[in-house]
Amino acid sequence: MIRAVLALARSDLFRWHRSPALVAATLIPALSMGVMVVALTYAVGRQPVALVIEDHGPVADHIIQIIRESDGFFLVERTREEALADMKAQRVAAVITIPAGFEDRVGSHDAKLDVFINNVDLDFSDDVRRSINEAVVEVDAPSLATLGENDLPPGTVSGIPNPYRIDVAERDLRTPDVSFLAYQMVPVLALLSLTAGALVTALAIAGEREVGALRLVRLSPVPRTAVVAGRLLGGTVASGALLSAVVLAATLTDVLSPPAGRWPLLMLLLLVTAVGSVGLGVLVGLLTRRVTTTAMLGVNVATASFLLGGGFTTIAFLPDFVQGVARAFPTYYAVEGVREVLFYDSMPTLGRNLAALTATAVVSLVVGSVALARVSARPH
Amino acid sequence: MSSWWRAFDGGLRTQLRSFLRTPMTAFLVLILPINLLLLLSLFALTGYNAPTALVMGEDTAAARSYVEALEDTHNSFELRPMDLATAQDQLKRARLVAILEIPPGFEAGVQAGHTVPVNLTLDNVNLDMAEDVRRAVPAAAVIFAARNAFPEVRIEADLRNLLPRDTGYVQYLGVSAVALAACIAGAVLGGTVTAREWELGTARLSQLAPGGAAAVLAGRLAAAAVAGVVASSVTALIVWFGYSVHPVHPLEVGLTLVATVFACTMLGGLVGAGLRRVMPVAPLLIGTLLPFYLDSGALEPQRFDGEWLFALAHLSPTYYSVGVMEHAYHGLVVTPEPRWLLLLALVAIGLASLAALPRVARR
Repeated sequence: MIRAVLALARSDLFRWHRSPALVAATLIPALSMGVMVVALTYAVGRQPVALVIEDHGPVADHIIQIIRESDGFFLVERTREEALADMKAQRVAAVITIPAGFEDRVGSHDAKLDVFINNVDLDFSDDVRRSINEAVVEVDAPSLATLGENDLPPGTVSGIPNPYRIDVAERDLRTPDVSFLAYQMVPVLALLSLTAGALVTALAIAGEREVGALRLVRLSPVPRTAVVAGRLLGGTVASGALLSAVVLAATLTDVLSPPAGRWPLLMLLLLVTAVGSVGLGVLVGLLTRRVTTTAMLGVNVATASFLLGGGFTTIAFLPDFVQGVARAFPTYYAVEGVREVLFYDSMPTLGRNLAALTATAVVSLVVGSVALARVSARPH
Repeated sequence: MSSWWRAFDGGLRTQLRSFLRTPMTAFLVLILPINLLLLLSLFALTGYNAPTALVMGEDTAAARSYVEALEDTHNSFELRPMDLATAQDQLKRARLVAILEIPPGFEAGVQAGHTVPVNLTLDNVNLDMAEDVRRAVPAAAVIFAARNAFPEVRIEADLRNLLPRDTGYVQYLGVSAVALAACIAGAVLGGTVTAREWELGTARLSQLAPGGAAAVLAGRLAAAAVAGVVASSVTALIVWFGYSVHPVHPLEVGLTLVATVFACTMLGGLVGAGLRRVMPVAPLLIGTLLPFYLDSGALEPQRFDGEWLFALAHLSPTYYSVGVMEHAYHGLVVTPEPRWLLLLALVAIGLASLAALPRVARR
């Protein structure tokens, strides 16, 4: 029986290895989401802005320096005419002007920095508005405008009075900040686990069913349970191998670096997700019967699982009903669990997440096994 | 009717019948763009208004004025008043981005002209949101100082807008998702239909048709385009009525949908003819179109991300489609190119793909 299981698993793995189409179908959704994450890493937070300098003086030069060093802008320095031309050609999202007479007005407390924003959508125009106010504040309240960057001990203020009459004592949950890439790579891992486990298995089963190969299994003397176990083992090994390769690459490039002692938990979470995915793949493959339908269903499920699992978003910040829908997807528990293991000191929801993933794995394996055994036994 | 048209008509009819006979596949094709629209809206929803606990050490006029300034700080905070213990618990459970504590004695300190320390505890796990909060806190201080006319403030930013009103992020992204829907529906259907011709061996048989294999394939692609227009129209209507984004130019929406689906169906057909297997068509096309979607002006005018990404965006039909679609719905200009050129580019992509199809098919 064990030999039969291993032979079936090996045969599935060979077929997967030899079919570039199947490999492509497995890898492309996760790779694509990975590319999207990298693209977003580049795009978020900084906006192209033109700076027009029409006045100089101690304060004007100070604010020019602040704007030049701001991490909220990709800055180019232009004349007024050039800046407006750049704005029209959409080379810049805003034009900041230090107007003539600025320095004189500083003395009379009514200096104004002119900011002209292309407010075509709220997201980046608000980024510009926040960043420019941060730059203005830095002139007279440096500690207030350099949150996350100043050298003050956590939870303290500089003690230097400022004209805004407010200072902020910042305390961060962790040092240093988690990079955007590291945070967003977690759902990509969950997606890879899902596509490698579920899509590979579903496409293999649907393909065999479509060409009638599944019925040949009936001629085999090995027990049905061995057939099912072999299938599941093949999918799990394929999924595990892919995940291991990606986790290794992410670790070597420092994108993934769990705190000391958390590796076993991380691997357990990914393994349970992969096993559950294979079980789901069996169900999807049996449900759809045709490769075209399986591919379409797989892509729909993979996309929904990625975004409802927390890809590009934090599910806990969304409306309650969306959170309710997200809880129906195993990736939700996988992403929450992995993020907790990687980034948080305490892990209050780890038990629940592991239990939900294990339950998904067990239920889908049992139901998938029974269904596969039935279909294999049923005459076509 | 000439033999070419008879073969075309035959290909069209049989393909439409095939869609009807596989309702599950047709349904999934219809659902995919809607799925993407709804899910991308989730991304937009968490793009701003960071959930932040507000712990009030006192309820005074100055404290309320500061809270109003926080609320008016460029869509930065979704303030949730609560006690400190609850806030700390929720922050640890990743239910909040930050906690802001206004201390007792806030009003007395502000009125005396002192600088009052406000506590900010930040979950800096999501750098995008953490940086938004760090920038929003000084911006709130600026609004607070301006409203209370603190005389020590020397400099202000005079913010002026190019357009009379802002467009919400969900509304902007929703419209770009319609363009994505049209691209994906057209490409996947075109690719699947063409690849299936080879996978089932019907490509060889259709050479026996009196009008030739090209006429049959053109008919099948036309059927795919019809189904693609239906699928993406549903998405467009959801944005119109569900998201209440009423198009400024409804005809332009229709024209863009048709042009986008045409371009992408033919492009998908080309990919399908190259792959000759159905299995990788949908993952490959969607996997390629999604990153290009981000690089298409879907989140903001594409040139804002730099010249290199701007040039790259021109490789994808999504860029041209998003450019016209944002104008059709919102009246926005998000590309430096005129709209007629964007539409022309879509038609040219479709025609070029169609012209290249026989060459790829003959390989």
